[in-house]
Amino acid sequence: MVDPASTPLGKMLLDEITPVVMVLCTPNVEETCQKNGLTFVQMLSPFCDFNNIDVPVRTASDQPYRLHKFRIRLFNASDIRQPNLEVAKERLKQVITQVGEKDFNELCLDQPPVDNSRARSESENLPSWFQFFNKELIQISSFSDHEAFDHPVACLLVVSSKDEQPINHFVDLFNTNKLPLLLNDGAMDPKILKHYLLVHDNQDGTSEKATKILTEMRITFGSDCQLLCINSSQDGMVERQDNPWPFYKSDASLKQKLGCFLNVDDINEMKDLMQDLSSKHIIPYMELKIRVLNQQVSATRKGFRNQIKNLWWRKGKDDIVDSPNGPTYTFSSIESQIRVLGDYAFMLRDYELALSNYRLISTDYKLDKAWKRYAGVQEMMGLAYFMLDQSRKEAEYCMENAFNTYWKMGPSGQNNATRCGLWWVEMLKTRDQYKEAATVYFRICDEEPLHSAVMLEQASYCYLLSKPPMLHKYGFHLVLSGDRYKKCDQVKHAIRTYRNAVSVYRGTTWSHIKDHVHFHIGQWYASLERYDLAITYMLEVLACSHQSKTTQDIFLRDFLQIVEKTGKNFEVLKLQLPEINISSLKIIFEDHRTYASPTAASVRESTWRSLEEDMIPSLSSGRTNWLELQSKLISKKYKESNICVAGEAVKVDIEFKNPLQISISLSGVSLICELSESSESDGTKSDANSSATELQNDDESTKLTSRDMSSRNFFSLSEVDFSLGAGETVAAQLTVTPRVEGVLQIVGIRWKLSGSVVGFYNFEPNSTKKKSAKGRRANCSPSDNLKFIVIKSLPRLEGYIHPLPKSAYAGDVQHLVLELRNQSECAVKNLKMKISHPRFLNIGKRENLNMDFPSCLEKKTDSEWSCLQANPSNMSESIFMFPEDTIIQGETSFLWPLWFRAAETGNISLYITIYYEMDDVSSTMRYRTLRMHHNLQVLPSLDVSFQVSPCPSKLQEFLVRMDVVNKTSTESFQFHQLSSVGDQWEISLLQPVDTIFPSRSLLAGQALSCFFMLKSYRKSATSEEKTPPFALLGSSVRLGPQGSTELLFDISSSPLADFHHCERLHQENVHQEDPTTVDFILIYRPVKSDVNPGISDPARLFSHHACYCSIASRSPISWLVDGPRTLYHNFSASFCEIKLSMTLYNSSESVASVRINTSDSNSSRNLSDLMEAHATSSGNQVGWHDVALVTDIKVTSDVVEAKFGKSSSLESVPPFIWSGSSSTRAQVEPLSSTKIPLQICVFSPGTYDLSNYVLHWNLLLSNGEGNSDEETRRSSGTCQGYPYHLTVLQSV
Amino acid sequence: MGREVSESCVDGLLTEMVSTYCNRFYSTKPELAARRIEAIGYQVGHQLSERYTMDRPRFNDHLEAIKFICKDFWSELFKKQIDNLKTNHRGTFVLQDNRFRWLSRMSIDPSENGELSQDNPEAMAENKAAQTTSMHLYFPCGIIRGALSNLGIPCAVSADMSNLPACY
Amino acid sequence: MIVCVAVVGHQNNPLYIQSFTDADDALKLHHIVHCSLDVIDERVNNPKKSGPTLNETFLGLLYPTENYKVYGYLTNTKVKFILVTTDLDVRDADVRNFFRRFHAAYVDAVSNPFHVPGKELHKPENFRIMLSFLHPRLQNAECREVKGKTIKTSVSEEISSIAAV
Repeated sequence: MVDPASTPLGKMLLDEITPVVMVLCTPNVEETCQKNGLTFVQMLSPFCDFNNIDVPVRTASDQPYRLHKFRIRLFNASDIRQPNLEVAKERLKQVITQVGEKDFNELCLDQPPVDNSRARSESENLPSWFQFFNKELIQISSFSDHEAFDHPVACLLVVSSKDEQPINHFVDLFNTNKLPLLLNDGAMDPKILKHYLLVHDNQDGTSEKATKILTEMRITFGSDCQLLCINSSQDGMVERQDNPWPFYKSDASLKQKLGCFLNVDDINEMKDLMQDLSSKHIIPYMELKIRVLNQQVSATRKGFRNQIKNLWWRKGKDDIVDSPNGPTYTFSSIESQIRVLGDYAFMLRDYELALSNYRLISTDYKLDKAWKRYAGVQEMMGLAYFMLDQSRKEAEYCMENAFNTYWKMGPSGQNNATRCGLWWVEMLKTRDQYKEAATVYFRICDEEPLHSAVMLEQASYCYLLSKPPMLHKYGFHLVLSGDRYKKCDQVKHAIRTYRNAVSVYRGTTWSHIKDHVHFHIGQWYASLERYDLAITYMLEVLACSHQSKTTQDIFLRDFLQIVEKTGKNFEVLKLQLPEINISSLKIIFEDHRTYASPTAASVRESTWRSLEEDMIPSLSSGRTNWLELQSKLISKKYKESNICVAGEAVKVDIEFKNPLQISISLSGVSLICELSESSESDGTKSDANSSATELQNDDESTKLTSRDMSSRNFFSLSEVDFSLGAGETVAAQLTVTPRVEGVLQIVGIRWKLSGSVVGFYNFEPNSTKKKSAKGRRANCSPSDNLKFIVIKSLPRLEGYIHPLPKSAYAGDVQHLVLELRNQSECAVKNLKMKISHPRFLNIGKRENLNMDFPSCLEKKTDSEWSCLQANPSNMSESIFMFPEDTIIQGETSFLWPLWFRAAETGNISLYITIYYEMDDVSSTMRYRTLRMHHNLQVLPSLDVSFQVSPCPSKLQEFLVRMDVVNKTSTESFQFHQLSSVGDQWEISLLQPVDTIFPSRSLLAGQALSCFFMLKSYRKSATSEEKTPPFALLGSSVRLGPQGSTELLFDISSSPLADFHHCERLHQENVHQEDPTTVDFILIYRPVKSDVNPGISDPARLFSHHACYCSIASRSPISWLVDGPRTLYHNFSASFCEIKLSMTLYNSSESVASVRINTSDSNSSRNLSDLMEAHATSSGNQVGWHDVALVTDIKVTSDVVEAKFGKSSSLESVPPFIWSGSSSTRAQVEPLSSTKIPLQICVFSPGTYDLSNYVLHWNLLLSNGEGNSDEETRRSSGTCQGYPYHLTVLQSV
Repeated sequence: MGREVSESCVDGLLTEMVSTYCNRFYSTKPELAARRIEAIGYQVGHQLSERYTMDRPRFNDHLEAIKFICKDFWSELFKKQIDNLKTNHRGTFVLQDNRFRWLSRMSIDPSENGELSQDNPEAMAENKAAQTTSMHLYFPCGIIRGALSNLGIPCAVSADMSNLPACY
Repeated sequence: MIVCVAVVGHQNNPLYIQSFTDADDALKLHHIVHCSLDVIDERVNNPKKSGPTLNETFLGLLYPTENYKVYGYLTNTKVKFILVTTDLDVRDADVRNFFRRFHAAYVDAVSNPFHVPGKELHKPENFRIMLSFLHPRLQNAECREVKGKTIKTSVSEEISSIAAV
């Protein structure tokens, strides 16, 4: 443990609690001193401090000890009284204000507030003025009468040699009316040590006169008289470094140089005087007094008897007085004497003695309820314990006790409480009990805000210093004190404390507090008109999404106001409003790849690549290969960086988010770019780079603006204005269009927030990395993602296809025109085109560009239909080359016909890419590609299925059954023709058309089946190889209404042939195993619904292609269900019974027994189910039933399972049932037919498919039959029933 | 408040997760799969530890936390405490469970994961089986790591099998 | 009644602060909670002063002040729960019980698979419902979404509430 005397508190006590010497001097003396700009007291003060006055002291106890450090306090008699509170407070205030100014000035250099670690190290040297402030605070409560150490020990009477009759002066200096209250009201003993001093001014001639007077004095007053000669230097030009006085003269104006007339021997004389005074007079006097008092005390109070007596006596008298601060004690009262004894002992460092005496009276005062005195004594006890450095607990207990007692006294005790508290705090600090110290500080602070502000701040530092540091409380108390400072408008202090608090909350997520602190610092800086600083703090609170709406409002409004006050439009890097979602950054630029529409641009690159595979020269090495062509132009390091073309815009998509609940408006949102003109010398290029990179991490945004202003004429930027609602996110597209060649760097974004603040956002290179890793530009390094090489402008084609429908019905055939526009002035040549789905889109020929469709497809005389001959070249998936002579000149557009057919239901996206080359070889790029993308929805129209079975009667003739369901909801169709493809087939009607179509057209949701005859002209099996598959000679039957003059369409002409070919290719894979197949093409047209429904719409044409319909039927049994197709019935009356008949034919040579099993379980297949059951099936002859015919038994069975499984999941109660036995058996003679009656009951109107029956047949083979063609057939089998669509309508 | 879940569900979930990550997502790079599984375990452990330490005094050193893992946490997860705990007093702890519940119902038939090199098929089989099972151990490892790190003990957890699991 | 409950993560980051007063005192409550962290640390670091039994999750009364009582609770995973209440005669048992249920609620909240550990609990419904047992007077305070607060320009009241421990 350190010596208590050397602790801060020790030092404090050693110069606070020291003997007081009262000075009484005549005006002349003062006048003499004033020559030096000093009062008498001030003049002597520097010499009242003795660091080594080596005086032996013997107090009550007998062993003497030596006193080294010693100090006496000089006071003019007039000053010896309770200081005026108001004055004192005023002084404190101005002290703080001065300090505030000083601190604030270096604060405004605005070094970032210290972080905690530094704060800790720094706060060892707390703001030095705390000490000073505390001292002043302690001074306030000096010269109280309840404690003796402020009472003058001695009195120094000073008279000038100029005074006439100095003796008399001496006498009446010490007459009562001048004396301070303390002596007069009997609080202290007026009989004190007097010391007589004669001051001689050497400038008034020599000192004989003075010495004469001195001798007189000696005679009159005895030995304690002295002479002091000053102002020995005549010229008053005494210069001294380390001038001792300013420190003692608080209001020292520096110009007047203090003590100018005092030369060395004057000073020595003064030193000697004081030394002599204190060592020869004061100390011995105190010793003496201590001894005397001690004897009295021990006489009256020591010893058991006295104790008892005293106690008893107090008991007796405690009924008399009950004034708040107890009875008044005169100096003569034993209590006062004990107190004096204690204090003297304390001042002479005999703490034991002091302590014992304090102990002695503290009980008395307590009993007397003399609280103030009691507290004072307790206080001194605490200090004594401390100085003795024993029993800390005692010391603290005493201090606390004293403090509380003072506190309880209310205002009168206020100041003493403060003083006591400060001492207590120091005591705790020296013992590293900072936390406790802080709490004491906390208790000191009263309602007077300035005072408590300082206390709170000191408390906060204590929390910081406590081990472990209590940062949270540190911060909080800083905030509190800052708040107090603000209250008594010490704004600068407030800012200081808040700034320290910032260091606590920085980096935490305590956003409410953080905002509070930042916001107020900002406001206060603004109030001091330090707007720049204010804004830096205000920026912190802008993105306060967690705050309430009103708060956000306040923040934003104040911020904007401050910004306005700054006058200039403020520019902020990384402005927090709005948030920029950098991950949404998407850059769309066109190098050799150009896009017809934004949707095309958003298609994945790989799809395009696969499409352009063999169209572009060695795409594998991508752009680099043509880069090599002009590697002389562009240096190697840009190999991997992006290319864009002068005059073509680079688009940047990015999202702005408004985190607030209030809407904000953005204006002039644009990119920050810089474009350095390319030149041959690599040097400029490189520094263009460096400037760009140096820009990226450059925080002076002003520089940014200036730069892109300069290069503004090189490119043009798009500016967007929009406002963001509460929490809204807006995706904006910004474009930059370079005008000249060079290197274009997209640096960032700039915007103007609500018209005043300009925000900047710089794209860091890595920010775009993740996107470009997964994005389309995977092949270029992220850092260059924002860097472009601008090459000189090129022709760029724009493509349109009109009229390409957004949605169409399946089978719809249309005639489209592709238009290519060349905006630039130079031409492009050898165009190529590729289409992703040839089934849907087919490239026509120039001739049929302006033919009228569909009449151009009608059969012509053989002379001219060659031109329409299908050309195999573009039927394959290969690339379509436009004729060599096609060159699209500048500012012209170019048309080319296309055929469209909705081949398949569903949503299809078509990709078309067009390749073209520049006409002038000088251009940087050789070629470009135009990418077009269209989404298309195809609705189901007719579901057609064919079924071919050998004709029972004749060989080489086949029965074709066509089942059609109209799956549309509104459209109704009319059949136009059915054609069989291939010259070996000829198709013909079986019944007249009108019997097939009772109503001319097939209404929505309607279904029908009809039969045709198919003849085969097959000479030999080899003949069909000779005919190429795509030569579509074939035969057709018109299905149009009777006697209509429409011509048949020529299925062998393009595009029908081409589409048919595509269909063949598409459906090929399904059945190769079957050699004998036939293709059908059904052509039908929609009925114009508005005009009379009979007539079909001539302009439109649908085609259905059914390929590979197998004619081979292995089942010897064929049958035909016969009966009504549509009928009306009044279901309200009864359910409806319908009679049907089934004609069975046995084509084999042996008797067949046939069993027909009808099953109602899965009967509920009305059309809606059918549709969704078959929407998926790809549209060739797969109906939903014919599998049983072309495939063998095994497949049949499980297909049956499949069907049953599927249908059993439908609603349970069937809308119709088979009536009669569920199983009918029949014998069929060889090559003969029989009829079987069937019957169903229908319960509700609707269209039904009566396919839910199965035929089991087996041939009863007579022995000896087994020739070749029998072996191919089986002796038994099962056939799934085919659909028989029956429409029952509610009769009216 | 602790809800029960069928044990077989957990087993099924585990095996399903492992097979999904190893064979579907990261079939090519097993170490990645392992990390993902471990990560899932980590989160689970993180949350479970929150729950299972709910009403018990705080641990004042690592050993207590480890003991908690061995006793209560283990029995919450695996319906048994571990059989043996060793430590080298340098921060390494070895927890030994002689019948690890989540593997107790697994067994790997060496023959069925075939295509073995001719020289020593058994070793290969062993090896393969070991790999497959260790995959199932990443999840529990993750759980334990998550629990410990949530208790303020950042650590690395690895599992080791003396002999392959097999049903009897 | 209960003025405020708070959850603070193991890095002293606020996870959830819910005040149940209409008064405009979000800032004040934040400060109270924030300061109480020091006390909690102190309690934990030198447990001789700490609650009845050693290392108990319940830390007991942190701040005795004239108008508030602040209670603390520290889970094994170093997550702190803080309860600020105005009723001055509170039975420890009640507070314990409250914290136990509060803990349960918290556990359920973080067991939500979509909860990112260390992120703020965005007033998940179940959490709030679990909280609604707090006090008969809270049910309605609970349903009431805590209204927006303008920043406090004076924190002088706090002084009383932070009369140090």
